[in-house]
This record gives sequence, C-alpha cells and structure tokens, in this order.
Amino acid sequence: MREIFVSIGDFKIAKGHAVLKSVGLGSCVGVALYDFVNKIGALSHVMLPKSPNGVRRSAKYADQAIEMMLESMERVGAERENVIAKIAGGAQVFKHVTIDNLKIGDRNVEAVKDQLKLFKIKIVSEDTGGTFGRSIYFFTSDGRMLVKYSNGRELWI
Amino acid sequence: MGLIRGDFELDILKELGNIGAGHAATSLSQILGRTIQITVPEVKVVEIPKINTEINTEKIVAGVVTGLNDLELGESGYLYIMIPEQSYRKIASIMLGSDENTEMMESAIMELGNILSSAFCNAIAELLGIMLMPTPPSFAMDYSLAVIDAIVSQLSKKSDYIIIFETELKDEEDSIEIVILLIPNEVFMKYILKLTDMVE
Repeated sequence: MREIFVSIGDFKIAKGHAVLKSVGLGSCVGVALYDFVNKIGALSHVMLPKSPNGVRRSAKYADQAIEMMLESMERVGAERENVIAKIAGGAQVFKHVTIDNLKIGDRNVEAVKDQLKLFKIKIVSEDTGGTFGRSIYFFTSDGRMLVKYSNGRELWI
Repeated sequence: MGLIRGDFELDILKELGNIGAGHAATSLSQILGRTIQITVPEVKVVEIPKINTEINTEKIVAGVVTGLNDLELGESGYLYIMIPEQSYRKIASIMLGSDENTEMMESAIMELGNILSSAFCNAIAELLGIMLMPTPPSFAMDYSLAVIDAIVSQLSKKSDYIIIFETELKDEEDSIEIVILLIPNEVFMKYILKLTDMVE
C-alpha cells in the first residue's frame, strides 16, 4: 500500500488505497479528515493553536489547517457534508515541566476541536492527552486510524 | 530568516557550542570515570517540516530539555540532551550500580542532564561575560521528535527554520552515546554579535 509521510506542520491528502503516516507526535495533534463516500482522506500534523492575527496561511496552525485540508479535499472531489474527523495527539510527554511554553498539548487539542465545530465536522473518535508520544497511520481506503504509542501500545480509533 | 545572517555567524555558533560541549564532556567523564570523546560538531539550518531528515524522529530516547535563561535578556534557547535507550540504561547503571529502579534511573539521568547543561551554560557564559542559568531539567522518555515538538512549535511562531548545533559524546568502547543539541532562539543572536565585537 502507498505510504505517504506527513511531516510536522504539514498536511497531505490521498484517495483510495493509501496510508497517511505521521510520527513522533508529542504536544502536536494529528487531525484526520475523511469523506467516507468518495474515500478521500487528509491528515495534518498541527503544531500550534492559533496563527498570528489569525491570518497566516499554514497547516502548522490549528485555526488554518482544517480549512486548508477541506479545500484540498474538495479539489479532488470530496463533499463537505460527508466529511468526518478523527484526532490523536496533544500529549504532555514531560513528567516534570519547568518551562511553561512546553505545555501546549491541551491548547492544541482544544483549538482543533473549536475549528472542527466551526466547520460542522463531527469527531467520530479521538485519542488525545496523556503522557506518551504517538505515531499515527490513517488508512484512506476505509478511514481506520492506528495509533502507536511510544511505550509500544497500539490502538485503533 | 533574521536569526542568522551567514556562514560567519554559523561558524561562531559552532565555536560557542564546541566550547560548551567540551566542558559538558569533561563533566560526563568525571561522573562516569571514563574517557569521553566528542565528535566534530555540526551546525545545521533546518526547515521545520524537514526535521525528520535530521533527527531519527521515531527512535525512542531519554531526553532532558533545559532552557537557557539569560538574566538580562531572557530565554536564549534550549539544550536537548538526547540519550538512546541503550546508553540510558548503561549510564544509569554506572551511576546507580543497577538498572532496576525506573524512578531512580530517571532521576539520575535528570541530574546528569542538569550537570551537563550547567557545564555547557557556564562555559558559554564565562566566555561572553554574561549570567546564563539553565532552567531545571525536564525529562521524557519518548519518540525523539515528541520530546522536542513543543520547543519546535514555539520557535516556529517566529521562523520556518530552526538552527541546530549538534555534537555527540562517546566513550572509547562506543557503549555510551549522548547527543547534545543546542537550539538557539533569536536572543542567542546577540551573543554572536557580542563575540564578533570581541574579535574585531
């Protein structure tokens, strides 16, 4: 199966048989959008909750990524009303955090949820928070998502 | 990119990092009672989305992160001490005499991170004539990228690139391996200007 790598701050889309993969999510959030009728999927690796002044277009920001993903999906034939979401990430990997800036996992998750609500996209499943990093594999043939934890645990969502 | 203007600045950063790493290596050698070697350091300017080509993002590491706190200028960057799982066990067992108690091991490695980053900071601070304090260490055992993605996120607010100074500390048998990454922010630039002024 075709494996497509999604790097930090970026997003990729695929139609049909493919795996969208993103590794090493700590405080970052992986957002998967899926049009289950047309079998079109997108996966982003969101780093920050808000873009400066809400204007800078980049998939690294939660408040921009969702719209950018939707637009790209529509370009290859997806329809907004079919789109559902699955999200994973937003962990707090440090046991003792002394630098406040490092606590952004929760804020990322919240920002992603706000955006999905704004676009009226339903979150069908999620695996967020916790203290372990994750790697995620999103199968665009049927919308399954595999979450692999850094401690070896695996989970389908 | 605003942070670094050319190769000259990168060379100065490399020299600063090298001095810091040298002192960290001496401390490590004293703690472990072994000869420690440093590899030739590298400075890289990395586009953030391409970070996975520079560090093995899926490798599980013990990571200790400290912030460099300049008493005058505020935070000037981060030190990321990355210890692959195998070395982590080895180092902890040398320090503790066993590798059974996970909590003790984490605490020992955190202390090691503390000592190495203090040595690193002191060397740089002395050279520049500034006060530089490392924040208390933050410890995580996770994917190497997951450990620093929060830092990378912070830096990505200002720039699409990050600068990484990288060097490795090793013992003679290659059984111990510690990677030191210095990730400067824009405040660090002022140190480089300061050093340029000194040599001119």
